[in-house]
Amino acid sequence: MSDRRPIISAHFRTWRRLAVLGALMLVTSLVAIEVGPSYAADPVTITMARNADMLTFDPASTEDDPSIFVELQIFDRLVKLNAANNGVEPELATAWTVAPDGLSATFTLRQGVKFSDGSSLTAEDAVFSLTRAIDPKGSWGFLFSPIKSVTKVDDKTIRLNMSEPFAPLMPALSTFAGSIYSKANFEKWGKDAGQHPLGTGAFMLESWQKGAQLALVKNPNYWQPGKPKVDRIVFRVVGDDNSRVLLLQSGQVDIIDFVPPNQVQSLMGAGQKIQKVEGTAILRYTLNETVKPLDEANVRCAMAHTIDRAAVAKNIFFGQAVVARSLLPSSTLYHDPNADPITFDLAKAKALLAKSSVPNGFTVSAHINAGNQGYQDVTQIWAAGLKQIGITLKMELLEQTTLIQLRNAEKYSIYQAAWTNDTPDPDELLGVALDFSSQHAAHTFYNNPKAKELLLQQRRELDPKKRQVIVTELQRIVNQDCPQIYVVHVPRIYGTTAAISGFAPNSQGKYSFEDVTKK
Amino acid sequence: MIRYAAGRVLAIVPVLFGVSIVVFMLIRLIPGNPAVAILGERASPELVERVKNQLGLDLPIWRQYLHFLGNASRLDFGPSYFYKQEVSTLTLERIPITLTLVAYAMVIGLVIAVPFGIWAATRREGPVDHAIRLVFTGVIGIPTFWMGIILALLLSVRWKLLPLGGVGASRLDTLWHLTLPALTIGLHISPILVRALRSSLIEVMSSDYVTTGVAMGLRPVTRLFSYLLRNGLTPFVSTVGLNIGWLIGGTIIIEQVFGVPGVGSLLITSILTRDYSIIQFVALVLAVLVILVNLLTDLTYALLDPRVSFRA
Repeated sequence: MSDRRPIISAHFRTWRRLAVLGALMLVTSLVAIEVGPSYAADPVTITMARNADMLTFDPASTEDDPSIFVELQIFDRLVKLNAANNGVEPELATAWTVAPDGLSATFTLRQGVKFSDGSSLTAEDAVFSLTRAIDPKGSWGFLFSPIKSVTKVDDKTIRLNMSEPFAPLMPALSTFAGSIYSKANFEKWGKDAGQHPLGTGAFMLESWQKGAQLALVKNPNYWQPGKPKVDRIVFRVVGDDNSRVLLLQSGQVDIIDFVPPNQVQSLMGAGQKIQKVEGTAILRYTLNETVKPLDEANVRCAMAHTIDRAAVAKNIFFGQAVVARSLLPSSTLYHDPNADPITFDLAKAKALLAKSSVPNGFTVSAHINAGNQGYQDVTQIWAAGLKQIGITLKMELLEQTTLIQLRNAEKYSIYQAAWTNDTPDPDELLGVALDFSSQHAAHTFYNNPKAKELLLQQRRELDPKKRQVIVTELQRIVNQDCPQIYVVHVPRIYGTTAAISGFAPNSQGKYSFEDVTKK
Repeated sequence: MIRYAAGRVLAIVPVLFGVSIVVFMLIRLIPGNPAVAILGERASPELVERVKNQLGLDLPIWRQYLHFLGNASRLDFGPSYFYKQEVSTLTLERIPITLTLVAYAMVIGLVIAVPFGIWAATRREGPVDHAIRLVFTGVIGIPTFWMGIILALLLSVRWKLLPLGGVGASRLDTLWHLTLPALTIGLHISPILVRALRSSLIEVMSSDYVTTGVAMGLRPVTRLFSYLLRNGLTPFVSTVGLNIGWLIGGTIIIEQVFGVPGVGSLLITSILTRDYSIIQFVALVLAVLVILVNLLTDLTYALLDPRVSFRA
């Protein structure tokens, strides 16, 4: 039998022990927390809550939007898109000429530009960055496909050499993929270069707590005088949509991305500002033509005419989306809404189906992202329309990564995704959608030699008027063959507090903080 | 006691072995692989194969496991495919904040549960007892993430009393930022604690020595502290300890909702991106933490109850 302790002192001893234990637990864990560097009170800090963290600062291996948007703050490019979205303006290049035969383009570099560590920008840095960008083994080589090499002409000039005339050249160079960064820094860090960026942009990296918070500070050597107008930007990772909205409403953050469409009205009513970027992303379904009867154009187009796009825009996107009339997002150059667009027309759908091998309908599955309620709702609306012409659509919900793998293995029937332009040039989306040699035309197995021929033609055509004719014809072919079925243009919606001004994402949804101010 | 504790700590190793095998196999059974997740929408079959080869994922499973074991024995758990940082650094720097959240939540849970548990037990079968049990049964039915958002809406947005998650600029500030998430979790576990305390108190209340004490003129306060709680606490502490173990894994959703950069939110992101290295390491770390907490619970039990001995 264990010792008997007097009751009174046992009572005190136990409570004391328990209290000490509890306090120890709390204090130990608290002491062990490493908080980031202690931030001195900076005059102007902007906090933005985003739905995901970025992954790398290396443009050539970047796949995700959060990384792209931060790279746009740290690096500059040769040119940038103009406000009218129909051309480019100088950025790191002050002047350029394209040779009459279209096989080379020469750029004069801006003088006196320094990286954020004080070292000077040289032609070698530009050549190095762009050579990595055009590498066909890199993620974005396809955007620059006809460019064969980048050479230094002299300390102020570089030249791009192409195998054929390349109409999308300038918009391609304005994307993040054409970012210019320091060669010396990249070589110094080797395979960790993606975590240690050095650029000429308005901001530079201060600290990065992965998965939690990223801080940028003003570049003291920035080449544009008087900019940026804020000293620090902090990007917080807040994955939950509702939490982001709450953070904005309570003023704990200044800007948020991916505002859910159903919260737009309530945010505006509470005095927050909403920035919508329209026409840069399109929601569409891709159909696998190896699954019968999706190989028949009549069947695909019949299905395309049963989506009530107006209902989708109004009910699923709360009026924030716009009905699509072309596979190209509406802000794309040479977008044509009048090339026999697909409309909601049940009579036409029935007529088309009657001409096919399955006039009485059939059953087909659609593979949809289980995590996206909005997408599922859109598919429900489509299924209701299909029912009217005798087609039964079964939704199979799968998780995102599984879905991508299914699509890559080409074992899907109907797949749903949004396409976002990285450049306003139509070549990017058209190339992916209509070129059989490019992953079987986005895994649809759509194979149309005439479309392919026109695709290559528009890529070479430097005269804008002639190019418009070809691209309109391509959009008409898409509307008549329906390899992909478009639904609505999905807006990118950002929210800011009333104190923020100058936050204006461009037509591609990319934002920069050079002109942002905070009251 | 030391020998007992040491024995328990050594027993962690075979448990970890088992956990690592199960987790290793399970995550490779899920469709999808890190290569696809890394490459995203633009993944082409050739690129995927190339990345899989780089990551060593095209080797047979048993070889991958042996590779993992070999590295683990040198405490090298590899780099994260996504964050390009050592997995151990990534995870270990997040442990303190998760543990603080768990401890804080437990403290809040106890602060809520203990008074109500005592009140319900001492007024048992009365209207107060029924009301308390009713209310807390209702609370247990509310999902944590819903409760979290509602609390955030009221306390953070409307009344601006508390910050909404994230980290603060200093240690104390971080504790302030964790209050809302901890309150949510604390509220969520309080019903279980109220129940446990109430029933162990009631059990003790009807025992002989208490009745004798009251008959001998024991004052109510002494009865409560020296007799009821002193003895009724022991089973209650076991419940608390078990719940802490459960909480260590259970804060995942709350961490996501409030943007707390803890181990839980790291785990969620890693599962979605199939970052095998992180998932494996986090599973092992969580297993170790839960085992240690259980050990601590048992030791505390022994502290409280002198009848418990450590002879096997």
